[in-house]
Amino acid sequence: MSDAVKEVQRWWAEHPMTYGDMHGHAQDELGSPAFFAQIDARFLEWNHPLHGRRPFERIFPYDTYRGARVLEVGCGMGTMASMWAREGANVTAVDLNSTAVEQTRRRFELLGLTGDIRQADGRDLPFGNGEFDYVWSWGVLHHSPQLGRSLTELSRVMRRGAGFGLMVYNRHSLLHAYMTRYVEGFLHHERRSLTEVELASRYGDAAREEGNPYTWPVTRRELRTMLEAADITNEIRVLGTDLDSVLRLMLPGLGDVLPAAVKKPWARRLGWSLWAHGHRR
Amino acid sequence: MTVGVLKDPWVKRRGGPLRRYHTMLELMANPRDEHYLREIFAERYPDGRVGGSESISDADRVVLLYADAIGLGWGGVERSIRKRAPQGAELRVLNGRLRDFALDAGMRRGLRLRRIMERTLAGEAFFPLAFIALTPFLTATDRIQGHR
Repeated sequence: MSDAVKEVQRWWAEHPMTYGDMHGHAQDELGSPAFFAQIDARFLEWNHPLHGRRPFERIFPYDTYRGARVLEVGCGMGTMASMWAREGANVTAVDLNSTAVEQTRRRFELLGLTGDIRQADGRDLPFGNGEFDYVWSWGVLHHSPQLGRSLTELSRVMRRGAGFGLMVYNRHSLLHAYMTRYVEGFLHHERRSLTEVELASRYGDAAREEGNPYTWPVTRRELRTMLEAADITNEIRVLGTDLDSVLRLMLPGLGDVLPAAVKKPWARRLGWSLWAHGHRR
Repeated sequence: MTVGVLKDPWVKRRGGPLRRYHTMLELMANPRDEHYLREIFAERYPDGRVGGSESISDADRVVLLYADAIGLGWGGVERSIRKRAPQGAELRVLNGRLRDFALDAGMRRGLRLRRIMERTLAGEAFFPLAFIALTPFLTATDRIQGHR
């Protein structure tokens, strides 16, 4: 494992994604039922446009893969893995950092769910070729310095025709242009001290404090090229679930009162997340 | 002797009729607390001491501890320190982004421009214009492409 990846592993183990203003901070004790309830509520609220009767039903084909082997790469605190397990999938989940693995195991135990939760690097998965029917990763692989290599590895463990879903940050987004490049890069003079990647790493992921070793949002074109190289068919959508919070800052006083019809064309083009879905060729 | 100068221009702005505006400025500025500033100062300048702007008479280096990135609200203190600092004392900044730099004339100009832009929301003033101009075009394009 390279030093860069070790650093990513160490940082996320010490600052696990708790969906708060700062990574690693939570009102309740990590691993307690109240902790999981709190982070789930916040995570689901952030993504409310993607839910139907069930959370994330508009993007996840739960029914197609009931009883099938599914894999999450980068399970974090186990929110999504537990949703799939509740829907009857045979869940395997991996994460690079030990805190995430421990917390996801704890969550499964509390909920009485079964799953194979392991510590593993997305670039070198401990599974055979074609073992999985569906593989997904949510908001994780842009923290890997080798996204293309991770996608090739994900493709390897998918059987031919297996389903695929991936959310990564969008570099052509209002959030990146405004908060990272304009506010922090220009206005706060950070461009003087940091490269583009360092700027995105520090300011691209909620908590704007030092430490996060690597975050590099991708463009739709870059993502398409990498997925093609990994033999995965792809449709890429921009998810604009972040837009309200960005507009509150960009359009002071107006962001809250703009009708959804006005925001939608912007969310569709310049949202912070790219959602790629498709199948292994 | 290195003297670190602390000032919290955010405290008095947290109430009053402009509360919403100041909350937004604070959110953008993301200022760090005094504990953090004292800690980074002690790490960078282990032999230094922290005081107010009145405690610089024996300083050979004065370090302004901006809680934010660009020292919003520090203009007056900086002018007073430049007048009162001993001849030849080095003037530096250590900010809430962990940047340590010399406060020379070029940097002061750059910071002044940025403070004005941040305070007046000059950059943000362009966004409503872009929204008004482009939204009808984007909406029409979406309708043609079958998006609701």
